[in-house]
Amino acid sequence: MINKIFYTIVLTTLMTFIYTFEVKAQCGDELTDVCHAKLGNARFIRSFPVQHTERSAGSPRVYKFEVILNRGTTYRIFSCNDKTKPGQVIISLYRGDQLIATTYDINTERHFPHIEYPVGMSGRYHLHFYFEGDKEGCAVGMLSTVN
Amino acid sequence: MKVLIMIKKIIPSLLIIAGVISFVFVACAPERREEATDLLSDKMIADDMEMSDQAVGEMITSVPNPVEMSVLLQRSNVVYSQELLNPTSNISNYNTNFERAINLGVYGTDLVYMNIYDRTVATLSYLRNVRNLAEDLRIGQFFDYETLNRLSESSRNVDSVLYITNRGFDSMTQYLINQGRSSIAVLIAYGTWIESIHIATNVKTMPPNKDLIHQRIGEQKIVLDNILLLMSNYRDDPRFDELFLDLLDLKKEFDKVTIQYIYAEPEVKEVNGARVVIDNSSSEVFITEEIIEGIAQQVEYIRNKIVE
Repeated sequence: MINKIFYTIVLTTLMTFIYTFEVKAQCGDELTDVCHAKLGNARFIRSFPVQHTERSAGSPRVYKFEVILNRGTTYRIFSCNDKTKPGQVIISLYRGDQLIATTYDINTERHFPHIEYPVGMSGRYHLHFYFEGDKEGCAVGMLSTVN
Repeated sequence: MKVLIMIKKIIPSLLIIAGVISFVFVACAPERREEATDLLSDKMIADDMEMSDQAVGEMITSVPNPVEMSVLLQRSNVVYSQELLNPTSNISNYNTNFERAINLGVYGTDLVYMNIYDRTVATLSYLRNVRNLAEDLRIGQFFDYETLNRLSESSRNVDSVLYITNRGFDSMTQYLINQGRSSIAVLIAYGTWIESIHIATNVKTMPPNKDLIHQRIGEQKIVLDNILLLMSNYRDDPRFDELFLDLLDLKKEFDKVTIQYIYAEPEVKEVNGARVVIDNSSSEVFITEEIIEGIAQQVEYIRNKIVE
């Protein structure tokens, strides 16, 4: 009986220990670092980790984030995909309902590496992330500014 | 069979070793300050929430991190002002999770501001405060103190320091929201933003960049509306309600700012394989010295309340 209690305590401690380390290893962390290396002359502003599980039915899931973009600043928006997953992320930039630009051309089925946006109008914008074909994927979107 | 018996014998020893290692890790963790005196129960607040955690997660990213404002000040040749920052000794005043979350945001902004101005070596005590507050809030795992501490030894590493700091704050926010602790994420964002406006409205500005900075302050009117919406979610808690009402007073000052918008279709062209937007829309901010003064006074009132 005492042995049982002892092992339960040890196991609980061990699980807590493992869990503490597990929360660090999120899908986005390593990818964010990979993406950061692609910044070049741009300055990192914010990251948007997105993790998507393939669904059997329904329209593709869109992950939305609101950002405030400032007039007079040129923003560069791009993403990095987890190569071990089939899904490739597409980013679209909206102002209200108006699509400003997207990293994917539906007509030519072509992906673009980034969107560069010298902002003329300060205000609320939305970044929409979705995975091509609604496939399972993990990606990090990056918002950065260019000098 | 022998192997199985051996394994059976070894398992208890391994478990004991693992238990001892875990204990050592916990015991050797940096000395923690006193336990929070409040029970900022996120779950309790979450039950009455009007906005879902997902909606909070979608909107909280609109609260600007302090990098853009600090860069604007630095590029406008505004002189660095250490006296504007929250003294590190104030950390001993923050005994509730509510206070800790707000001031994690405040110190985070101070840290970014110092780094943008290449005051990397002087940031160590601020780094420590950010780590301690994050640990108190059980989100310390996202703040890479050891790396930041090492990188802060040289001003050549500013970009890396800023990246690791901001990535840490992004991860903390996302984790808090995923864990149903969005109220803490909102408080961090609140502190971050107030400190940023406090610095921007108090630094000494000179023409011609003065107008540019004033315009950027005026544009915060848009951010304020979003923060009000986020804060309104938790008004059942009287402490949130007080902050919300203070923000409403600040809104009265920001309502005097006029932003004029001219809409036009954007054009998109391809340059070196990337998509480059030509924004044919524009906005213009109308703000006077008196309005700036009114905003500064109300921000000062709020800021004094949260840092003292």
